[in-house]
Amino acid sequence: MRLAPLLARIEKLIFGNRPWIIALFVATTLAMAVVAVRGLHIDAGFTKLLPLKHEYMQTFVEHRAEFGGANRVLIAVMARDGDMFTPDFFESLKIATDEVFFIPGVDRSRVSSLWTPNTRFTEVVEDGIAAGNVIPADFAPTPEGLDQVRKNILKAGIVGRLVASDFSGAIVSAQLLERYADTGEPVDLVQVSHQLEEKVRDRLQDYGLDVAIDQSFGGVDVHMIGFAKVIGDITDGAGRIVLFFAVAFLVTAILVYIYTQSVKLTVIPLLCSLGAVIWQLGLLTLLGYGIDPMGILVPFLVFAIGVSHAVQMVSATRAEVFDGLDSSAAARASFRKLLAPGFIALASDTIGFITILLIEIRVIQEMAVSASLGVAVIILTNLVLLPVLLSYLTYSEAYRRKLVARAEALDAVWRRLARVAERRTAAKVILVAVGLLVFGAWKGAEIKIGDLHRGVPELRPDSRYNLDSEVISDRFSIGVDIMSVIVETMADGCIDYEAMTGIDRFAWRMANVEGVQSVITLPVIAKVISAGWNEGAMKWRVLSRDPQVLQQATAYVETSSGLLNRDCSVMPVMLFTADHKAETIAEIVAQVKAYREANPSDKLTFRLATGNVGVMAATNEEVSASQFPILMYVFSAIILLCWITFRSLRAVLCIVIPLGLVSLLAYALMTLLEIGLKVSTLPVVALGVGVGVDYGIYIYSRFRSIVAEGKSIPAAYLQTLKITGVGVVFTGVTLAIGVASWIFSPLKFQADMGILLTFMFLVNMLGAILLLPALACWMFPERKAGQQSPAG
Amino acid sequence: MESTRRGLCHLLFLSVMLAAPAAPGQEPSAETPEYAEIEPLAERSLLLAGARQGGLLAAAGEHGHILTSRDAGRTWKQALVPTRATLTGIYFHDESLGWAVGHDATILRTRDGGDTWERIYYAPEEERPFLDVWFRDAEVGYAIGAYGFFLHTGDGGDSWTARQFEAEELVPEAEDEGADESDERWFEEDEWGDELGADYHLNHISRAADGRLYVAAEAGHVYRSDDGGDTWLGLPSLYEGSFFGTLPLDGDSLLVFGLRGHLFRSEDGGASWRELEVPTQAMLTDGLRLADGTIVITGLGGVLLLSRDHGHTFELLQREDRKGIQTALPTDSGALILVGEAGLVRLTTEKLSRAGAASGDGGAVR
Repeated sequence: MRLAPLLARIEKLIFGNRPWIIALFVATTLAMAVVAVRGLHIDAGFTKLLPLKHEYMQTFVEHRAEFGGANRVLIAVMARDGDMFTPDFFESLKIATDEVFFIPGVDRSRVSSLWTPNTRFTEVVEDGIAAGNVIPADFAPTPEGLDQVRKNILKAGIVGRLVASDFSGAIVSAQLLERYADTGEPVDLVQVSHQLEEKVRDRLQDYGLDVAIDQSFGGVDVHMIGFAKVIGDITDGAGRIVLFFAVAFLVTAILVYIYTQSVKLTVIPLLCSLGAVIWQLGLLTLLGYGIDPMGILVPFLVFAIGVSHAVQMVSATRAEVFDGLDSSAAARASFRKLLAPGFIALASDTIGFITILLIEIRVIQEMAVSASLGVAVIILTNLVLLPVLLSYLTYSEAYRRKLVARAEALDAVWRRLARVAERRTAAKVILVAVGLLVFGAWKGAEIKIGDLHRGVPELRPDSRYNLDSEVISDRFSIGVDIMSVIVETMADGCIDYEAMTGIDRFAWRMANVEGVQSVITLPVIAKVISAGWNEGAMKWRVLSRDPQVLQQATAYVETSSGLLNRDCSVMPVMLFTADHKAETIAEIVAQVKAYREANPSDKLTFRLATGNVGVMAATNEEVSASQFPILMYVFSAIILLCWITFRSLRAVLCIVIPLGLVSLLAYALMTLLEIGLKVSTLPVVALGVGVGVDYGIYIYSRFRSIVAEGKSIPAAYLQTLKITGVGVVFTGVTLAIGVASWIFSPLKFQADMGILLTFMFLVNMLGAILLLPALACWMFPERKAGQQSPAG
Repeated sequence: MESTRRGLCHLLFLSVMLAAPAAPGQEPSAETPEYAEIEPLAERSLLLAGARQGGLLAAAGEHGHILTSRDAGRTWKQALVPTRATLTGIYFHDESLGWAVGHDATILRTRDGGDTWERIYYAPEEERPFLDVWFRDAEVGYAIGAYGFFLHTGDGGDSWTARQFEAEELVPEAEDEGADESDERWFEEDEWGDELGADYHLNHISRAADGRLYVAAEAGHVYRSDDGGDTWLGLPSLYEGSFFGTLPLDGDSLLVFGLRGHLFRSEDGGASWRELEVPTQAMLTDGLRLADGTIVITGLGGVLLLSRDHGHTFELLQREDRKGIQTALPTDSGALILVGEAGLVRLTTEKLSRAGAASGDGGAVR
């Protein structure tokens, strides 16, 4: 084939200039390391997580400036003994309020708690309305003073909002600034999160142990929620991935050593793979990317794939040495033999990763870029540098004997395993595979899109944050799952009866949709205020046709409430949802669309959607829209590359069928483990296919070349197993063990990815060594396979 | 505590409200009515009026919701109603014929026990709501509302006539206290008071066993009619806050109640009053007498005042959800149906009696 002379030339070029090659790699690696160390930063941004081109997110982007006020933190101070009306509790709440007030990045004018002067009550009295601060200026923590505050709280109507529904605690609510007032730098959310932990949580948890006014005081618990806390917790959790990386590296090193039985053969592949990671990080930095908590796994993946290829190279070289070549010739031979399949395998990986670009979510696209860069780099480090380094090694006779002894010990295992290439056994394997296929198709079809569990999906359900969030939504009437439908109308829409009534009707329709727990929107509030102007009489809870009356009913609602914009041309309808399961979201979205269609209006435009559930709606739709295209492209790329390489339909079938089965089983596994298909898990399937194809290509190409030498199918497979299979099994197990450690990550999405990747590594390995030969033996002619033209 | 006061115009003469609606008997607006949406949560929506006639229970409220029950309030059925206006009053003459009124000056009628309704009066351009409705028989009835809105029909609602709500004063009223000054002005000066006269909100109409009618109105006004609604007397009042309901008791005894937990009792048909002390400051909205003689006064903030001594002393039973209660309906089973902010809530007899007995901080106060 035409490839051979080209390979020979490349080989000559590389092995003729070994010192230069090594020097070049060392220099580049050092340069990349410097670039990475100096420029690499953790880059966690909210908008990166959004499918910005999605219709819903366009709404979000357009109105972010006005309703971006989602950046709020709530700090709940709860009395451990369940009663907030104690002097010590009020002291604790005061400390919390003061501390929050002084945290840099907090908008001081928008801190509210019982202790802030913006917390007021009004009450209807015979001759008008009386008003005052909930905690009066002359407050004293006496039983009478506390009783007065209790009465004022009831009048202020803040039970459930600033005060727990059962009076067991109270909230300090703070809005964060976009930029620091003094420097103009964007507010560092992680910093805010840490300050909240130190200055509020840590300080108050201990309050009462020594300074209590009343010795019987049981202390307070602090619960905090808000986007800044989420980011802080995710970043803290992501930091721990470094530890996982270290563990995985160590485990891999030990296993590689056990496999190679040689320090040098352990260090060299690991260094090459690590080199690939350094290059990748350097390139990322040069491209101006940072590392995102979600993408922090990619370097590890690159390392893992690197090791997988390195092990193949080492095995091949060793096999050549034992066949009698000297180490230099052996390295060259294995370079020759593996460059093409290795290149094809890595190219398939790269293409697989690039297809993830289809998901129009920045963080995912960054992952795609960084993973494909990394894998492309492996072509250089592990297919070029590694054999060059290996060519300098010498293998002692003792080492050789050690390996021969081990090979003999394992021989029985391989012989048993090689029986899958006999037709009878193969038939059984294929039958099992068909069974799995049916099972996978059945369970896999039930896969759920989106997040299936309560709380912030990036964090574990039992994480501190999610527990805090549960306490707060439990004790207060504060919903944490919100979808805001943005209603656009003309300026001064809130004094237009038709507009207001239209929104009110929409709100009522939505309140009746299953999964919506409550609805807040300006017209609903305006009705209550209207009643307030009529002595509180509920019969006046209506929207007046008189613009002046509507004006009166809406004038006191501030834009900071998030219920209207400055000129009242935009009014969100906030739907508090029961949960954020995909079905719930889909139902609500469908109902919004149905309403929109059934009630066309020139005055009102109902636009989906913002709020955390709005984001999820968009993300779910994006994910479900791209899941099939992604798989289609990945598989098309693999099929095409396999076809180009092997020019044979059976090669394509033998390699692709196991991969397809494994993908299907991965879906089934997700269904069984209640892992939703979402931004963090969708790429894993594509990445997993990319890794699986390596195994298939290595095994198939070795197998075919042995078959082409004229051996019988089972014999050829036995030999394939001894040279290539052992490496495949080894890498499958090693990588699985490595990523399995992610399962212990504090971040839910990392744990999910860990589970799925472990599964993909292991099962792809099994598919390649069991199903692939089984298929092959039924596809190749039974006796001999000489007819195939030998090809690269 | 800062306080602001609205100087209320206390007129010595009550009187006159003129409404000038379009030709009676015709639908003033040509707009085709929109039917209320049938929604699963209609039972949980804001409901503002209730009626009971024999085995029929009915409630009406926002978004044109009318619900009926024929099993003592266990299950409710949403009626087909040709309006989405907020309804504020409902009255049944018998188990089939009934009327409902509400905002946009809407009047509805049913002839099939509340299953389907027709709109018989509608005048959104009035820009004032009806607040209650009452019928003397199948023909003669009154719809009352804001700013002295007072409509009369003599043909079961086919045609309506606006009447001047004139009342002769029974006893001269107390002197005006005058208004306090304050920095914080929540209300603008009343522009209407002097010019138009006493266009007070007529909040609630009820009938005593002896046939007398009582209307509770804004700004401490209570009116009485001894001739079935043809002429009205303005009763003296000790209070300048609004009244939201009256509850005629045996003989000439009468309770009247309203803003901030104010509850007055008269033994002489309203000629003289005595204030009863009650353990709440919530607005009191309606009153009723149960079969066993227990008197129940409903209120905002989840307030129920119970009296087991014919309305002399009351104890407080406060609902945990503190949702406003607009009215309540007794049932044959003894259960009480609360109608209000939480929609329809069924309170069983046991709950009612147990809660009454256990209400520690309420207590009977005289």
